[in-house]
Amino acid sequence: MRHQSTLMGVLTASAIAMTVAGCGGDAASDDGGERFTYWSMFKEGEPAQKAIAASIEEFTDQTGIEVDVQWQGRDVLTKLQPTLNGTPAADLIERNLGQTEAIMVSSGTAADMSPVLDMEIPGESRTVGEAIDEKYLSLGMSGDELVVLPYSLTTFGLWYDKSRFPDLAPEDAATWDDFEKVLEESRSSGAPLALDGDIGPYVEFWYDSFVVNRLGVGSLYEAAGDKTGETWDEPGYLEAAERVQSLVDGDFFIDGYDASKFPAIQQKWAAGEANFYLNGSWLPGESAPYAKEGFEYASIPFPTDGIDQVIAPADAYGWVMPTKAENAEAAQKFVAFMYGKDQAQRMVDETQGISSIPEVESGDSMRGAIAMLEQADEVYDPADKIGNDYADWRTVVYTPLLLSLVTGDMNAQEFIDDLQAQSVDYWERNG
Amino acid sequence: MSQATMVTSTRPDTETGAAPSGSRTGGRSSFERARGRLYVPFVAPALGTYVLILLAPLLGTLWISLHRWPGAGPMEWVGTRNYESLVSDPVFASSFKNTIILMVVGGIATFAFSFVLTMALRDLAGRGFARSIVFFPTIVPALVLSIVWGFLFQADGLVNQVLGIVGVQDPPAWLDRDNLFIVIVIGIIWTSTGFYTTILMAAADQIPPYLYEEASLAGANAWQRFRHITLPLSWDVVGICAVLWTINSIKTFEFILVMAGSSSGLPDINTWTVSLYAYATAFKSSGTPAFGAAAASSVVTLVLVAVLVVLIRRLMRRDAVEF
Repeated sequence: MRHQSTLMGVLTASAIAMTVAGCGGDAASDDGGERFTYWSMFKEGEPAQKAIAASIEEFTDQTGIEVDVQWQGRDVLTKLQPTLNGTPAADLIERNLGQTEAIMVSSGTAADMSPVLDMEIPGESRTVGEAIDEKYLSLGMSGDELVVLPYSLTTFGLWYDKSRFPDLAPEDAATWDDFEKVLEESRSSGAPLALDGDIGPYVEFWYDSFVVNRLGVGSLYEAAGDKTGETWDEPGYLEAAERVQSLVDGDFFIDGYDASKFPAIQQKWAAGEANFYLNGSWLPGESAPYAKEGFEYASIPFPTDGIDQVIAPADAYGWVMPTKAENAEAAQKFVAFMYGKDQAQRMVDETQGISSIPEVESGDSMRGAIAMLEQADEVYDPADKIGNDYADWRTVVYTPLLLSLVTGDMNAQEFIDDLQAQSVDYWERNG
Repeated sequence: MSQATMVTSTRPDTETGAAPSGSRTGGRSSFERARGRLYVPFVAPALGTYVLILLAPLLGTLWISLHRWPGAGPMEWVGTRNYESLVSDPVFASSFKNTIILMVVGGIATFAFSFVLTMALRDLAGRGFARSIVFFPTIVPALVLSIVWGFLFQADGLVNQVLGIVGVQDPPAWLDRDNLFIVIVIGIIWTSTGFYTTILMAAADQIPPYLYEEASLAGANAWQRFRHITLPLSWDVVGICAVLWTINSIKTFEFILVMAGSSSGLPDINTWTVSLYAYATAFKSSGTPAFGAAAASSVVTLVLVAVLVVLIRRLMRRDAVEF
């Protein structure tokens, strides 16, 4: 009996030991060479994953550094979060500034990526810092520290089918009043505007855009963080809400926008039932499978509505490393490698996206979006940073009220009054 | 295995009271002493697992609920402030209200449909097949159901198209902000009815058919047969189902998230339940996670479940009817 118990104990202990050994990772490769762990925000099979996987293969061939890559998906940071206090499970990930600030900067676990800027790109006689358009570095800055090294860019604009509006140029929609005329004239060929009203960020972007194009970048952020609520009294905020209300009252949005489930309206737009769609630069890739034949993707910037500065909303996805990364040096070498023109071009070719390296050429569908970014005096966070610093306020106060405004449940004045009152109440409870 | 064999082989001695000679010391038989020695090795693994997997996380949740914590880095002690914020938060209040609506209204509807189906399917030929069909929505992933549900209730979806054919000129906007939670409750009732019908039918199958035959001969109608035979004789199972429904309705989360949310954002706060409130607080689509506040709402949810389960068990306690 005792012998059997001992035997079972030994077997159990052995099994546990073997399991632990099987699960555990080893920083050094079997042959003693360099290696690091990389958790990607992409899933296996995605275009970006295919591009990165090919780059990893080339990187290992050229440097001998092994990359333990895991295709984790968009919640990569949520998965990494529990390990950030100890030894991080990954030495390198990619994400945008909002998520990185929320999870890593807030816990002091995001490494400064600026040393990579001084690293030379293998095979090119320039550094990473020289390759990236300096304008985009601000999209990865948290305070004075570069925590996201921008690699791919996304931007927002008014998307349309160029085959249906071949003569439309950005100058025709330089101001909102100009664009409203374009919208009116387009009624004969379908609903002027598409909007998936169940997607909060899409709804918000209408009001966000009116505010920053009337009062400037940072104006929404300022009002959101005003605990007295007095900033909302400035006329520009009400006027921006009145712009939204005029779109609702004027039946500019396609029927059913307030009672459909994504991507129903997007599909209608891609089928030609609506003319313009305020959306991100991922739209061509996302809607191409169901777009009608001959659909030519094009975009124009959101029109200015009072400010005399050219601004462009943009978000950067890029490289992020934990402060306690065990194999930081090897990971940094890989990041520098990825800024090689060939690697960046492959990424853009696969994803039909926009690179942070100006010489990398994007597809025709991105022409308008890239022109907008290039001409901008300033690039800004599409949600004017309220998603980073006032996320809870945004979720429980701002978005619900905007949904009421955009679906016609309240008018502009009621929206501002409620926004002011609820914000004051919110900050009293959470200040 | 070997220990179990040993216990079995020793039992006849103790059952007959004929302990092996010389095996009693201080009033305890050798079997009792052996059993005493085995108590800890047998109980320890289960107890250890229970403590490690259930009690430790629960205590951890309680501890976290007293802090402000983004999920990594140092924790800041805030005492009961997270609980105080919950009490004064209108979003938690509306989430709580939605939970109660789902539990009470959804529960009444689910059980009403389940009882009707149980009675209707009882005498049906091919009821095994019918039972499978009724159970089907339970095994389909919520994600798939939400897509189907969205397709049905879109502004120009199948439901409104049918309503248009029968002459309804201005059909409801089912998925707008005012109606979405109602549609979600209907969806949850639909997915849950098959599950509870299957359990109740299994209980009803145990009732001897002659009771129904006698009742029919005595002139009892379907409602009377249900009221005086099915319900009292399956009362224990109904009680278990009520507890299961209560727990499930409070924990309801997945269906709402996929029905009203998206990959880029949380569902509208009009549709939140307490579970979704906890999730949204911890796993926001943007911003710093508030694990402390999320843990506090989880603790409140746990207490709510415990209180309601105890209440239901007390309310439904009756002497078992033997048959």
